[in-house]
Amino acid sequence: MRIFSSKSKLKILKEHLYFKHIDDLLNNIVPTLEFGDEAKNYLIKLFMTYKLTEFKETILDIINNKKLYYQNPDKLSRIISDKLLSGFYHTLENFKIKEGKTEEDCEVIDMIIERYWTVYHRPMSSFVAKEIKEIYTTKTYKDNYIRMYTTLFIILLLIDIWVKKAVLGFYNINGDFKGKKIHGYEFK
Amino acid sequence: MEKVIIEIFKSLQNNLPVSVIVAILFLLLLGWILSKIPAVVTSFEKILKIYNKIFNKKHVQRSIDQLLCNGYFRHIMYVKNVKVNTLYFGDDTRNYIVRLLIDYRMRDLEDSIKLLITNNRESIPNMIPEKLEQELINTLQNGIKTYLENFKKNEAHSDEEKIIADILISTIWDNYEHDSWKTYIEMVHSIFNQDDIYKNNVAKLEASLLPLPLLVENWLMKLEVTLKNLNGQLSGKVFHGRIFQPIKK
Repeated sequence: MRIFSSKSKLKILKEHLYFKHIDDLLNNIVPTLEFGDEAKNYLIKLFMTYKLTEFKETILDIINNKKLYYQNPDKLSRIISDKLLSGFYHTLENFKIKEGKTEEDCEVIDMIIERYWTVYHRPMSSFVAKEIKEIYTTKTYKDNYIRMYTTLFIILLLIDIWVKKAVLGFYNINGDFKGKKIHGYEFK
Repeated sequence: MEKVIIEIFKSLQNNLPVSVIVAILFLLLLGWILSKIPAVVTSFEKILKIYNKIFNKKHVQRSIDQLLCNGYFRHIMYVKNVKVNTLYFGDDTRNYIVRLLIDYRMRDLEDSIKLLITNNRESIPNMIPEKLEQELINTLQNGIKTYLENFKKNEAHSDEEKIIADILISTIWDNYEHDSWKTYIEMVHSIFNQDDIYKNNVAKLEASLLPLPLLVENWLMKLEVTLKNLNGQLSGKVFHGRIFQPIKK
């Protein structure tokens, strides 16, 4: 047992497996994924890189907030759930602003990314929101650093599942976007 | 900030004799100096450990009882009794066999972890974290094999039923290679090595069980997709008197 200041707990949070694992997904897993054709590979990997970076930055923003320790646990759980799980359409809009240079680009982004998210990610996300709420209401965890540390494991697993299941998901998404292009890549 | 400290000091000076204030300040300074000496901190930690051993024993046993009511067990019950009836695998026979298989898996997940906790109730608090971590991982990994073996032994009686069980088992087994177990094991390792956040084995065990329902949900979702794509391997075969119909796509 050691006597810990909030400063060292913050350091422990920043060294969480969550950040190492996202880096591993970004650098080693995502580049090796295959989604069927060149255009799908390009768009989905681009989106995954964008989303994974956002996952990382969002958590860093939350833990860098000096009020973290004193925040009401219930409020904190809502902030995490909103930012990470419900904020998908906000992410999609930002992604379209950044990468959707033509109307066709935006149309394809809407079709592929939203369809995948709705079918494969939304059910899991709402489940995770319930799990997170449990962490913040149980008496087991005494402060917000421990709650946050535990929460990050659940989000880490959700992200891992999301990335690894994407291959299965995107293979089964067929249809309307055949022949359309994004950044010069044509969908087969 | 400085003004506040001066104000507090002034109000103390008005209410307490100077010697008492000096004594308090001296004690604070002494405490701060002692906290910088590693040998003193180590001794303090040892005393705290002895204190916790004596006075927290009952508290730890209560925590172990609470562990058995963990959200993980509630979720297994929910899957077993409610969710499984809402999953659809193509036709009545596929529904029947896969729901049976899920029941085996859920029972294994529930019983094996409960057994691990109850069999080690007394030793969990003092067990070496690495050993407890290994016990948990072994329990979960063995469970993947034993529930499939039990399913085959108890439910596949005829040659045809054995073939069907083999097809299902190999499909599910192959499916495991691509799932997130590896990441989960890495997470458990990280939890059991984090003494600064999780102060005892019960807290470590509890944090390790928390992400498991997510893994179960993922398994169920993948099971639904994979078994729909068996491409006629089961069509026409009979299991427990039920015929597998060709799946209409």
